[in-house]
Amino acid sequence: MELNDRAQIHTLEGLAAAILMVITMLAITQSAMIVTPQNELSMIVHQEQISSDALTVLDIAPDTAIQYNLTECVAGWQGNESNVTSSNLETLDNELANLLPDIKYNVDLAYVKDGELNTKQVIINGAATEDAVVVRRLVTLSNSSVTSSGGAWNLTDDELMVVEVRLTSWQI
Amino acid sequence: MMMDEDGQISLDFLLGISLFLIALMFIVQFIPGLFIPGTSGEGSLDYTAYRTATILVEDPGWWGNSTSSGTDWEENTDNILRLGLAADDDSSSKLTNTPNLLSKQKITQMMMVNESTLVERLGLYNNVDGTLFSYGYNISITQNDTPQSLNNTPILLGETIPYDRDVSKITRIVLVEKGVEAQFEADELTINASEVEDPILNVTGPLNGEIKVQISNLNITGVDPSFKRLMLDGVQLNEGPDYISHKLVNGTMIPLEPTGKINNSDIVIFYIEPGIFNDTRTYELEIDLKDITFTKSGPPFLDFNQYIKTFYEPAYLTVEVWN
Repeated sequence: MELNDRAQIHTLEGLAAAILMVITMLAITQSAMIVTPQNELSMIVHQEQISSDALTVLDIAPDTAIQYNLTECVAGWQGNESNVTSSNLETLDNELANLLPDIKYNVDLAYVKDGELNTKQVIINGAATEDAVVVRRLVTLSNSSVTSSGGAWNLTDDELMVVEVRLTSWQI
Repeated sequence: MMMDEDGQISLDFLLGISLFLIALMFIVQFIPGLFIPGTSGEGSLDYTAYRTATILVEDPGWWGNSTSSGTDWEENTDNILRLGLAADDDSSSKLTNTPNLLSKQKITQMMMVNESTLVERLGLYNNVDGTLFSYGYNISITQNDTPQSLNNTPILLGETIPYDRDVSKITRIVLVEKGVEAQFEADELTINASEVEDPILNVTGPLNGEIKVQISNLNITGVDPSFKRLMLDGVQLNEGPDYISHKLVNGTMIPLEPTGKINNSDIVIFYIEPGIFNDTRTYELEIDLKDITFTKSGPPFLDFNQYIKTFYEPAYLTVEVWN
């Protein structure tokens, strides 16, 4: 019986290709760090969580941790809206920037005055992207807290004002 | 009988391509996450990381035996039911008013809890048909990407993060107790009669953690108002290893150079490293200044401990979990 040598080459090629592929994969997995992108849901959860933490930390912070807490920052608001060039509430802006590096955010204040819902933009750092998240925290202002922070809320002595601080944040 | 050559070729080619396909299948199996992005298996790890971080940050924990229970598990480490780090001023309340504010005692105790209790109480395991597999985990509290130290031990639990595995990570912003601080007005400080530029404080140890001293409203009396050195019981402390000095000018912290002049509106701040006041006794801390004078003379010198408040700093608690 006569054997054909050509057939053997195909087998060897297959074997060589297999070895090459295995070696390549081993080289890749051993040498480089594989960064698997986290799925979108967990990224949004993370973003919401850390933004919400920033507001919580500012709200509960004792004087010895952060100089002005969230209530004091909001109470000191002068009543004017921000635009892109001039920002209000610079203290709050600085404190948030410290807590949230690598994250961009805008802050709005929402409150009811004379039966009407007002929403004012107070910190603008840019246009929110599609995957931005919004977190909220409520602060309560009284005349004494507004006076001691030098704000312009014009509350009467027996009046309490509940203000919703809305933080829109996105990753850059 | 003569063999047909064509038949043989296709048979051997078949063998070749089979080998190739086997290798390809092996690689697909070898790295499952390579061809299918975001598999369902990783999801449960995300939940585990999220849950663990939430319990640690927002819950004060819980302990209990047949007779009593409370959130002060750090005092009752034999009967821990839940591990949580949030500070709580009322241990019978079951929850805390200050989530994200972590208790130093609880962190210290968590570092000492044994591995199996930690894994079990934080639920860092997977239950497959009744067999428990614990996840790999890494829990740390960091500031500027460096782990925070507590009694000279970095707050770091678990193993090194593997680089070839899918790791679920969640970061929370927390406030951690750094030490104590005291704020003084310059006219409150006491001097030893003849040395009007060198106020002295009585500090009673032991004081763990960092110590922050703030002095405001300084009385400038010369042309070169500046800071010279800190003396502890007559021995000079070293700037750098022992303490760091700053001045707060209009809300901005600037290092206090020996040559830099101090204005009367500046607030002088010293951060004294942990471990300087470790013993149970009273230390005499002398702040040597130049061209800045004080009037109230001692002894007795001002008692530092009556002014102290705990101070907190923001930090990041990171939980990473993998299979």
